[in-house]
Amino acid sequence: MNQQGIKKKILIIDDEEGFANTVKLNLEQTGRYEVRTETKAKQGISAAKEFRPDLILLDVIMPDLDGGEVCSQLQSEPGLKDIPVVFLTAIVKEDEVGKKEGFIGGHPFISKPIGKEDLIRQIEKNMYKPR
Amino acid sequence: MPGSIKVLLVEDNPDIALLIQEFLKKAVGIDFQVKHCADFKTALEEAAKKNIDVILLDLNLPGSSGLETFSRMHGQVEGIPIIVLTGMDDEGLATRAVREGAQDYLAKSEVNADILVRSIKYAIERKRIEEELRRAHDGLELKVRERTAELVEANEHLKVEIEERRKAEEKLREAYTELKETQNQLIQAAKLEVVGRLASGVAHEVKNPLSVILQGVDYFVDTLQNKDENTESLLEYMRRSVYKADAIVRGLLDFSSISKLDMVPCDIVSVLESSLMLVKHELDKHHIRVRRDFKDGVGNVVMDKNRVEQVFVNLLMNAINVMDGGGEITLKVYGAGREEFTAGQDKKAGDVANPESGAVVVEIEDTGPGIPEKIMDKIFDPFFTTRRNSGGSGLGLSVVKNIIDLHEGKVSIKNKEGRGVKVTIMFPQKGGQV
Repeated sequence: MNQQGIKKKILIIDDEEGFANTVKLNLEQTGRYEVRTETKAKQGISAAKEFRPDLILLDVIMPDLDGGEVCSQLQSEPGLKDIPVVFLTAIVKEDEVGKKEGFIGGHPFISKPIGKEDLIRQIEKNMYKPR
Repeated sequence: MPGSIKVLLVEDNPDIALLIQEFLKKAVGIDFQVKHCADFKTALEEAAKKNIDVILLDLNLPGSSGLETFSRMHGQVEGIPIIVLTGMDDEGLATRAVREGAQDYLAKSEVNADILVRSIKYAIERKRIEEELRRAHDGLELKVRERTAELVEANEHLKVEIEERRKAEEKLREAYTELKETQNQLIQAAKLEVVGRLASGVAHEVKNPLSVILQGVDYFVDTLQNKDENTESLLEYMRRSVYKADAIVRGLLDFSSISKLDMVPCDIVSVLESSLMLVKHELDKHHIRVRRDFKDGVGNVVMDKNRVEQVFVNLLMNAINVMDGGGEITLKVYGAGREEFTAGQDKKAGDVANPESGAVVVEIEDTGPGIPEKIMDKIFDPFFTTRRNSGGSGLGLSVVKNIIDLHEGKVSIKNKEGRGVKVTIMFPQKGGQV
C-alpha cells in the first residue's frame, strides 16, 4: 500500500492508444494511481521529465523508436535514471518464458495480454525497488 | 601342266617298275622323269627332298604294307599327289586309300600308258586344286577367327560401355532425387521464414487488441453495478477467450520460430529425466506411474537440448491429459541399427531421415484410450486438436514433428494392441560417437 492519500504516478509509453487508455482507466479506478499516457515514443523523455512518474510502463515495439532506445535515453538523464521501468511486450515465445514475466536487459518485463490484477501486482512489485 | 613331270615310283617288283617306266617314256608331249625306289625307306628319303611332282606308290612293299604304307607316305609328303598301285585283291584297300587322301588308284594288271598318263595328269591337277581349296579354306578360317576375335572384343567393349552408362544413369537419377529433395527443403525453409515473419507481425497485431479486451473486461468486472449471473459468466468467458487466443498466438510464434538449433552432444536419458521433472506435479496430480526401461551405453546424440526437452514435455503432457483417473507411462531408450532405422518407416508420420551409423530410439507409451484411426493421419497437422475446448491450441504435435525433422530424426505415433498409444522417436547418430 502506498502512503496515505498520495497517489502514485504511472507513465505509460505505448503507441497503442486503446491499450494505454484502458490501462489508465483500470489503474485510476482503484483510486491509488494517477496515470499519464504517451503514445509517441520520441516524446517519452519530455513526458517523463514533466510528469516525474514513480514507475514507467514501456512498450517494446513502437513504430518510431523502440522501447530499448527510450530506456537507454531515460538512463542517461540524471533526473530520470532512477525511475523503475517495466517493459511490456507482445512478442514472447513459449520457450523463452513459461511464465508471463521475466527480465530483459536488467529490467523486468511483462507480456501482453495482461489482466488488471496481474498488472497492478507487477507495478507494486517493481515500484519500490532501489535502482 | 609343265613340260616335265618328276615321278617317284615306289615299287618293289622290278618287272612292274620297268613296265611303268616304259609306259611313261612313251608319253607324247610330256617328259616324265622317273625316279625308282624299291622299298619304303628309300622312297621316304627321296620324297623328303620334295623335288617330286607325283608319287606312284605300291601298297605292298617290304617294310610296310597296306594302308599304313599310304598313311605314312601321305603324312610325309604334303602337297605331293599320291597314286596308289594295287594288286588284284587290293581294290578295297585302294578305295580306302583314296578316301584317306590318295588321288587315284591303279590296278597294276589293268594299267596301260594312256591310263597311267591320264591318271598322273589328273592327280596333279586335282592335287593342285585341292591345295588351292585348302589354302582358301584356311585363309577363310583365319579370317573368320580374326573377325570373331574382333567381334568378341567389340562386344566386351560394348558391355563395359553399357555398364558405365548404366552407372552414370543411376548417378544421374540419384543426383536428381537429391536435387529435388534439396529443392523441397529450400521451399520448406522459405515457407517457414515467411511464416516466421508473418507470425511476429501477427503476434504483435493480435496481442495488443487482446490486451485492450482483457483490461476492458477487468474494468467491467470491477465497476459494473448490480451484475447479474449472466453478466458475471459472460465476463468470465470473455476473459478465458482472451487467454485462449493468446495461447494460439504464442503457439504460432513458437512453431514458426524454430529454425535454428543449438546442437550439442547430449545424453538422451538425462534429457528425458529433466522432462519428467518438469511434469512431475502433473504426474502426481493425476496418479500416473512412470516405468523406465533405459538400455545402458546407448551413447550420446547431438541435439538441441531445450527443444528436445520441449518435445518430451509435450508428449508427456499429451499422455497425462488422456489418463485422467490414473494410468501408466512407460519410457524406453535403446539403440537401433541402420536396418531397423530404415525398416521402421511410417509414411504418414514423418519424413525419411538419412540413417548413418545407427540411431537412438525413445519410446513413450501410455495406457489411455488411444487415438481414433480416422484422425490418425491428421495428428501432426498444425492447428489440429481434439482438445480445443480445454484450451488446446493444436500446435503441440506439429511443433514436435518440426523439431524432430530438424534433428533429421523420425517420429511415429501408433495405437498399441490393447490400450494406449506408443510414440516412437528415432534420433540418428552420425558416423560414430561425437
